[in-house]
Amino acid sequence: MSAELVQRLSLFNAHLPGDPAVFEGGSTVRGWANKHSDRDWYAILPAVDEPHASDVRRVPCGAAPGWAYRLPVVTADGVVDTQIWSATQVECLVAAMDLERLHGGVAAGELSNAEVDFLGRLWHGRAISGEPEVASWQRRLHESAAPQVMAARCLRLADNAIDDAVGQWEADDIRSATLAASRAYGFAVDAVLATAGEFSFSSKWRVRRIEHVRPSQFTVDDYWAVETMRDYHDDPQAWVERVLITCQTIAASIEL
Amino acid sequence: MTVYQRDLRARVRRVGGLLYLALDDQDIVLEGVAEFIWHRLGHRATVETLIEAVAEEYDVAGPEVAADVAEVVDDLVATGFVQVRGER
Repeated sequence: MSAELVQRLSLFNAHLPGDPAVFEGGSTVRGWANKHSDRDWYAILPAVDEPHASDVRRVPCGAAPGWAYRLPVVTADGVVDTQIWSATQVECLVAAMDLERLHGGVAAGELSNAEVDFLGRLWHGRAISGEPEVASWQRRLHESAAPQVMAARCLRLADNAIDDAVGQWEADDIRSATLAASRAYGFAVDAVLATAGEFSFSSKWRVRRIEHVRPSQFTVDDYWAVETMRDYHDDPQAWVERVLITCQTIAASIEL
Repeated sequence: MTVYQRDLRARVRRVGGLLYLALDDQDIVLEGVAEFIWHRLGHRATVETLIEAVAEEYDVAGPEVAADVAEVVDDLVATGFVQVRGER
C-alpha cells in the first residue's frame, strides 16, 4: 500500500491498522476497462471519523448508518477515486442481505445507489491491502442472500416503472409509456443479473454483464433488440405491451 | 370467442417454486396448470386455444379439461389478473 494511500486513509482513522482492508472494484478488475476508465478503490476501516479535508465528499447511505466518504488518491498511475466505509456500515449492508428479512417484509432501510454499487464491487473486488479481511467480507457477502435481495430490489423498481407505463399507455401517452417500459425492462434484466452476483445501479456495463452471465431467460441479442427498440416503429403500442409482458415473464422466472 | 390476456400491472414473484401475483388489493398463488395458463396469457388467447395448449402440454383431453381451463380463466378474470381483450 502506498504512503499516499496511508496518509489519505489516516484522515479518517488516526489509529489505522497496519494492513487495512482495501480493494479495487469496477471495470479494471472485471477486464472491461478502456483507456478512459477510472480506477476505484474501497477501504473498510474499523472506525471512521469525520475528516477535515476540502476534497472529501460524502457518499449517501440508506441501509447503513451515516454516510461513507470519497476522496481522490494520487498514485503513480494517476488519481484513484477512493471510498471509505466503516466496518459497522458494511456489517449493516451484509446483514440486510437476508432471506428472512426479504420474505418477512422486515423493513431494512432502502439501499442507496452507492450501497448497491459498493456491494457489487465488493462481490468481484480484488484486494490491494488487508487481503484476509477483504476475503472475509467477500465470503460473507457470497454466502448471504444478496443475489435474491438485490433481484427483489430490481423487481420493485421494475414494478414501479410498469405502473407508470400502464398509466401512460391507458392515457394514450405512448411516448412516455415507451420510456417507462424501457426503464422497466432494464430493471427486469438487472434483476436476472443480480441473481448471478452482478449488482450495479448503473446500466453502463449491463451488456458486458449479460455476456458474462449468459442468463437462461434471454440472449444478448434478445436484450439488444429491446434496448435498441429494433421493431418499435412497426407498432409502438404493441412494442410497449410486449416489453411489459416480457418484464412479467422475467419476474416469474426468478426464484427469490 | 372472447380473447384474454394477462393484466400488465400484476406484480409477479416466485418464492419456493410458487408463483405469487399481486394486483391492487388481490393476491393469488399459482402453480401447475393455472401457472401454465397464466404464462400462455402473455399472448392474447381464447379459452379454446388455452384448452388445446393444456391438452398438448399435459397430454390430456376431454370435457373435464375444458371445464378446468375455463374455471381457471374465470377465476383469473374475476380477480383481475387477466383481462378481456375483445372478441375474435
